[in-house]
Formats: sequence, C-alpha cells, structure tokens
Amino acid sequence: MASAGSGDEKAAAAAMITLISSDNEKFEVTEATATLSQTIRHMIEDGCTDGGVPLPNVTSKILARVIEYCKKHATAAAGEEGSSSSFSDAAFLEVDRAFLEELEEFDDAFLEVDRATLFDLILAANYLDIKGLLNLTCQKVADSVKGKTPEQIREMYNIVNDLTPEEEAEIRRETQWAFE
Amino acid sequence: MEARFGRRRCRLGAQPPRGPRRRRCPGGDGVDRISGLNDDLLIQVLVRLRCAGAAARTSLLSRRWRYLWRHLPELFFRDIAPDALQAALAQVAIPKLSLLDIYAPLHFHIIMSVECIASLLHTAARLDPVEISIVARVSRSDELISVEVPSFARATSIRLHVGNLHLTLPAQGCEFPVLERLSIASPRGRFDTGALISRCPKLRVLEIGESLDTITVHSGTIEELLVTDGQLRGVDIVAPMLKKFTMRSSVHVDFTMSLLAPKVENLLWKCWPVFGHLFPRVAIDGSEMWCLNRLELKTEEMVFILVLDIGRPYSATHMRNLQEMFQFPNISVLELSVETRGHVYGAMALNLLRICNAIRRLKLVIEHRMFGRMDDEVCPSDCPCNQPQGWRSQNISLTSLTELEIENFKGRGHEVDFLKLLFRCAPLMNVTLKLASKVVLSSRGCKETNSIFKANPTAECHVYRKRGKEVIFT
Repeated sequence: MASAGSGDEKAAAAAMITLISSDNEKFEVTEATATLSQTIRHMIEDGCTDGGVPLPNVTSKILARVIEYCKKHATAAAGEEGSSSSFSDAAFLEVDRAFLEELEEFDDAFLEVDRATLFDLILAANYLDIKGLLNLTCQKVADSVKGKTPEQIREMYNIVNDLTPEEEAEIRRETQWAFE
Repeated sequence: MEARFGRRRCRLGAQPPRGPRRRRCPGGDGVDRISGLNDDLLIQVLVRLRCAGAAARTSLLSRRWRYLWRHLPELFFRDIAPDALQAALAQVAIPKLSLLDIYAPLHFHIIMSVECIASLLHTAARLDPVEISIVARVSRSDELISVEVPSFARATSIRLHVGNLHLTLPAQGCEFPVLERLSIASPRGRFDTGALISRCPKLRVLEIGESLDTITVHSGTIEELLVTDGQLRGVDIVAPMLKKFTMRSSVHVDFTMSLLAPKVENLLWKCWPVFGHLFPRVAIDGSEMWCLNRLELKTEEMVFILVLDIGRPYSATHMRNLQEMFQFPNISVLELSVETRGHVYGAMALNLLRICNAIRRLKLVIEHRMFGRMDDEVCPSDCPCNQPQGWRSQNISLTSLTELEIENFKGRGHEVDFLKLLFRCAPLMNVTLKLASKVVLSSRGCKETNSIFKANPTAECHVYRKRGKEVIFT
C-alpha cells in the first residue's frame, strides 16, 4: 500500500513517522508501515504528522502489536506491487505463493493472543482503520462462535442473559427460520 | 463497512466517535469483552460467520444482540427451505444489502417452486444488493414457465443458477447499469443471453452454464467469456474487447461457431460431440471412416495448440467439416491422437493438416485408445480409409513445420509413406519416432524409415523403443 504512483518510492519509504501511544511511548515507523492505517494516511496527506501522531486510544502494548502487523503486511504490499507487472511469469507466481503462505503463517501466529488482547486489537484496527487487521481479528472472533449454541457463546464470552423468558420465546418465534 | 472516522481529521479525538449504543452487560470488570465492541463491530463479526442463520441465532444471547443480525449488509443462506428464506428476508432491517448469497442446489428436500423463485427474485431486487448469487433447484414442470428477471440497479455481480424455467426480461425498463460479472445457468431451462447482454452496458465477465441452444454474445465491453456444461448448438460471438474465451461443453453435430474477437489472446476449448444412441457421430472426412471424439484448443505461451482425438465411428455418422464447426485461430501445434485400429490414417491426417498448415509442431499418437484395448479391424486394399489413394503423392505447404513426433510407429507401408510426405512438404528439423512394441528393427519399414532419415541429413532424428530406450537404425 505504498503511496501509489509516486516516482520516488524509496524516498517515501524512508520517511519516518512517530506514533505516540496512550501511555506516551513513542514508536518510529516508516511511512509505508504507517499508511496501512487509513486514518494515519489521511493525516500524512494533510501534513499533520510533525511532532508525532498521538493515538490516545491505543496502549503501547497494543500499538507494538499493531506495528508488528503493519510492518509485515507493508512488505507484502510492496512485494505485490513489484511483481504485478510480470504476473504471468511462473517464477514470480512461485515467489508470490511462498510469500503468501509465509504471510498466512504470520497471521496465524499473530492471532495467538489472549481474548483481552484480541478485542483490544479489534478496537485499535477499527480506530486506525486498518482493513486487513480488522478483517483478521473479526474473523477470529467469528470462527470462535461458529457452530456454538447461544448458551455456549454466552459462557465463552461471559455474556449476561438479560432476556426475560417471554422475550426469549418471542425471539425464538421471530427467528424460527434460523432454528429449523 | 468503513470505520467511522471522518476523513481529513487532523487530530484524533480521545474517544471513538461512536461508542456502543447499549451497554447492558457489566463493562467495568472487563470480562465481557465482546460487548465492549460497538454495534458496527459486532456486525463485522457476525458478517464473518457467512451464515445468516447462525447470525440470527445470536439474537438469543441478550437484548443487545437481539436485532443485530437484521443489520447485516451481507447475507449468506445455505440449504434453507423456501418459506424460511422468505421469512428471513422479510426481517432485514436495512434498505440495501451489499451481498445476498443463496445456495441450495443439492439438498434433497429443498426444491423451490417457480412462483417461489419469481418472488425471491423480486425480494432480492428490492434489497438492491451489489452482489447477488442464487443457486437453487427448481421443481420440474411439464412446460417451461417464464420467470421475469427484475432489474438490479446496483449489482456489479450476478450469479443465477436456476433450472427448469424460462428466464425472461421485461419488454423494457430492465437494466443492469453497473453489472460487470454475470454468471447464468439454467439446467433444462432457457434464457436469452443475447437479450440479457444488451441490457448490461458494463459487462466484462460472462459465464454461461448448461445451455442447450446457440449462445449469442454481442458485446462491446465483454473481456472474458466462459461457457460450460452445455449441449451447444452454436456460439455466435461479436466481442471486440474479448481477451479470454473458455468453452468446456458438449456440442451438437450441427454445431457452428462464429467468432469475431480480434483481441482474443487466450482460448481454452474442450469440446466433445453430444454422445448417445440418438445422436449421430461427427464424421470428419468424406469416407466417414473417422469421427471426432474430442477437441481441445489451448493457449500456451501465446501460441495455440489444437488437440484432436479421432476414432472410428460405431454408429450413424453425420459428415462435418471441422473448419465449419469451429473457427480456429492460427494453430502452432497440432496434437493428433487417432484410434486407427489398423486403418490407413494418411488421407485423414492430410485433411486435418490443411486446417492448420501453419503449425510448427505435429504430434501424432496412433493407435490411441479411448477405452481399453481393441484389435485391428479388417482393412482390405479398397478400404475407404485409403481413399483417395492419391494422398501419397499430394503436396501441402507446411512451411513452418519443423518438429515432428510420432508415437506408436509400426513402420507399416502407409506410415512410411506419410513420413515421406511430411519430409517432402515440411522443413523438418527435429523428428522423434517412438516405436510400437514388437517392432523389428530389421523390418522393411524400419529400413525404409532409416533411408528417409539418411536422405534428410539436416533433420535431427531420434528413434525410441516404447519404454524410452533410444535405438539406432543400421
């Protein structure tokens, strides 16, 4: 996702951005990494990043993970751009496939986190508007719910059932089609 | 769904712009973390279940979850009964969907009536999805009943696989203004592709399945066409932007192709004549000794390769000229597999070479058997396979043919004659013969072959045993 069409991509990639977490920790990242966040990308476009970008909703612990994700995927995006012109070349396809597999492995390992971190990552991905990370983390939650009964889901996520028996019966009637 | 941030915001606020609408569960202890997500994010999670039923079942979790699923922009239904589907769609609480995907093709109990499909299509149109896919079984009726396809104003992709009915378009007003991808199949049904395409000014990719008619595609925008699993009577294509044309289908004996696509660069055809005792076989020569079993055209490294599987007909035949059936591009490689059963193939092969006389490479596999092993047939000297007898002395200009490979070469007189003909008509540079089993190297045929090789020293010739060992003629 490096800024498309810019002739001096190397110069752009070398530009550094400082991100400041809610607990005031500073992270230096390349612009290519930072712009995986649409929110930050817009700030860069508007020239509002001098003196660092404060991210009052993201702790240093979560920000470090988010940056780890963005670094890996920024490299992937750059790789894709590099090889797109010769997509018919079997060797390039081979490289792409290997890289995609590596990326998938990275994503799987990245998601090996406790539930609190997972939800913090979702909030951060939403806040920073990082599509790939939001997709990855929401999919992880969706997968954990798949095939489970409402009782099992409630138990897993400590959801308190505040429905009255009447309401519950009504919902069952409304969504009978989903229980057939 | 987009994250809810205003574009062009310089400093980020301390709070997310839109928090959870209702926070019923204990938030302070941090245990029920999923309820800390706002509705938009919970919907993002529910969408990824890719199952409307599973999403709807979360209504029972708590009040917070009760109506969430009704706001899903993407709805997937799998193997759902028609009335359940109608009930579900009636509950959708957002005016427009981004995706509606209904897939119930094989489930034994789920067969939709024609009325049901018609009503489903109109419900779908009301929900105005960007992508729509309906794959469903429709009950059979004695006569094909017409069902009108409504207009999908926002749809960029439509898949409609519903059989046993006649899909029609209203006389006017039905447009698909932004449709780019259309996949349509109507097993045992009918639809008028030509009329449909004329309503799609942005169509780029078209997939047509299980057609029993002639397919008409006249489109100034279409770039990719895929035709599969039909029993085609013909294709009529006028598509100036077409780049890729794939056709995997059986074809009727009266099949004809008209292809006007100057930009096409990728062709992939796999065609075989409709098989069955009611259908005559496609004879490819005047003697009606040979019939087409299978035709394949493929594109490899920008060149076109034609693969023909030719056999002996064992039932009534109907003579067709392959060039009239198919409209071939410039073929660079011909791979010809012939189930010869002891007959003379020279005259037939010569006819086929006339179709693609610009080839660079010819591969001939003789005695190729589609099914098991069969013995040679009686082939008297006046057998029609050898007609016209004069084929041996005919000339054909094969100015690009430099590479020849023959598999299962037995060294019979007519085979040697065919080899002679090729050496005479083509500037062969590279010749590979793979001998059939039990060929005796000292036989007359092998000796003659060797002298042909000697007479053409510019060609590099190699002879191999069936199992791959190279042999040297002496």
